Amino acid sequence: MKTLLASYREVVGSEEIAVLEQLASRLQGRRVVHVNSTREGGGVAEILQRLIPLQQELGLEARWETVDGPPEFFQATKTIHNTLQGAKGNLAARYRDAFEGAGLRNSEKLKNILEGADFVFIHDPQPAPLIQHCSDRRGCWIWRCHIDLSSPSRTVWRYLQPWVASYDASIFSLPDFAQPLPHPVFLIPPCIDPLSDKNILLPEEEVLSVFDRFGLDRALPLVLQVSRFDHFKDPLGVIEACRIVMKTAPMQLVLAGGGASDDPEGEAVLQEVRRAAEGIPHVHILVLPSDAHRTINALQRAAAVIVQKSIKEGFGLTVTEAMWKGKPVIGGNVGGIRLQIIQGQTGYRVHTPEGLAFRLRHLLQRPEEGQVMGKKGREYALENFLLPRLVRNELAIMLLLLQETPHRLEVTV
Amino acid sequence: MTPHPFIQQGCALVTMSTGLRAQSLKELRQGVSLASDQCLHYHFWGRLLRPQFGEADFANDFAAWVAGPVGDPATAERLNILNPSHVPSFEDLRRDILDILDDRLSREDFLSWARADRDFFFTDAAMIVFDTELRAHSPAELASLVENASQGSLFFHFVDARRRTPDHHDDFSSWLVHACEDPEDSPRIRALRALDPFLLRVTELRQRVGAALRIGEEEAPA
Repeated sequence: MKTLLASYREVVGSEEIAVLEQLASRLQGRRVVHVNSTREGGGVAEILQRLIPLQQELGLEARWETVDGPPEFFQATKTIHNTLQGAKGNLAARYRDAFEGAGLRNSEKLKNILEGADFVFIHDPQPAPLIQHCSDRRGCWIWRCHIDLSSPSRTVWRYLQPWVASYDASIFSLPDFAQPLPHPVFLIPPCIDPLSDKNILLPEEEVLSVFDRFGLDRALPLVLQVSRFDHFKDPLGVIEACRIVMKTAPMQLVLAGGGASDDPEGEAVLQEVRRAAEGIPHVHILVLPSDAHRTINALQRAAAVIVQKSIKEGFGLTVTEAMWKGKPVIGGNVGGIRLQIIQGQTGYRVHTPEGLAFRLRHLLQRPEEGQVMGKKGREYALENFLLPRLVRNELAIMLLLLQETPHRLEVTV
Repeated sequence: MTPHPFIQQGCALVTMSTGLRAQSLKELRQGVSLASDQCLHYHFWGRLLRPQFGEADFANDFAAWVAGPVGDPATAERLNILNPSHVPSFEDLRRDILDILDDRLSREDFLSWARADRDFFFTDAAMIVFDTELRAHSPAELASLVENASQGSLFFHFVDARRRTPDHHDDFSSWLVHACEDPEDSPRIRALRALDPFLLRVTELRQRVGAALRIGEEEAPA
């Protein structure tokens, strides 16, 4: 049976994999624990599902743990997530109690594993307080922030910051998101897994099957946005843009999303989106289960243009997924999308529904331009945003943290 | 053939936040005065390790920011002409940047601000150096290696070497002199040392270094 490394070598080439092996050779047998809040739904869980076996194959003792709690804990973490990404609001005392109580209970469950690890990666705010309860930790603790902290609620950040400050390092997706912290702050864009069901090459018949399965019209160009039903993804703005385009150019829109087990607001937004789409022909709202990865893959490959019109975005993994499938992408001019979409080269960045409508109309009328952009986007994704690159960066950070000065690391065979 | 092969290495940058940011020319000036040499190095040279599509309008990140979010094309042009290859040290480069910004600020009739969400972020980078496991035993083999080298490998041997080595030469010409006994004034050494990587895109650099290494190839003994 082919190893994971051999499979990735076929995608990213031998040099990239050789670098991983060189870096990992210095970390053999090290115990690495990743902690987040859900095993399914959302980009972090998707990455961890593949990152852990890959790190294991490279010789690290990697494992994945999750924190859990009562509904109030997830309500608290959702509020923290939203307010750190700029939404107005505060964290009520009962939610602080739920957040801190869950931190204590989870630490009782995970304490031995975490304290014995050489490296602990804590993903996002949900498990951040664990560090407070693990006073006998022997390894390096790294807080990995996947969200956009560029304009957080100051009150909520002040609440969270003392936990984060006690880590040995942190990782943010972009310099814009980094907050001043008393430890090394690394910048790593998140990646997608080219071998996952969501990104692997599909047979053409499987791609085309989505038209019949979801009642789509094969004769109309498909515009697609894949995301949770969340106001930060601006699904209403996408519907508005398509309503404008449909006056002059035939097209169909699919808004495809699912829930994540840590997202209690999704249902309300979904109802709002359904109301907005009522009466507009060729607008399809698809609620997909969290494991519908091949379906999403097929929809993305069937699309003419892929949209990610977020108004806040940590890093749009769907943008990278679209580029990897050779599609032109139109995204909101926010967050990580600014790094992902190279204006006029791999797609367009827009600010408004009208801006989205203008670019959509342009690309729908010139499909050959979209193909050129898609090709560039695939190369760009290959060079920068695939899982082996993320693994390389994380291995490098682990090694840098073992040195006294984290500025230069020479790995020789 | 030489008994001392050229060891091709590659490099990658892991970027780091410095915590310094600027929203106006004045804050940019303050940041430049506080930034480490590594940070300046990154903002001038880091583009060689980033994806390059077409012709870049700006040769360094400061000029790009001043032209874009700040909207001061005249100051951007003055920053854009700075070339780190032509100054003896990063202290000199820092002084040149500060001179341009001070000049602009002293004539300022209004403060130049960027939009709140378009700050300049001073970024640092840690360099990871690794062995590509590829070796060259002759100038011709080295030329072949270079023609297929990654961005990171070119950066390491041609850009980083000038900062890393005591004589500030690139690794290729140093190897030709020390392992292949090329005279310092041989045509290919002169051609290599005349290349200014700051003015070239990676594809051009790869091609020109390869061509320089092949100078004299026809006369070389088989």
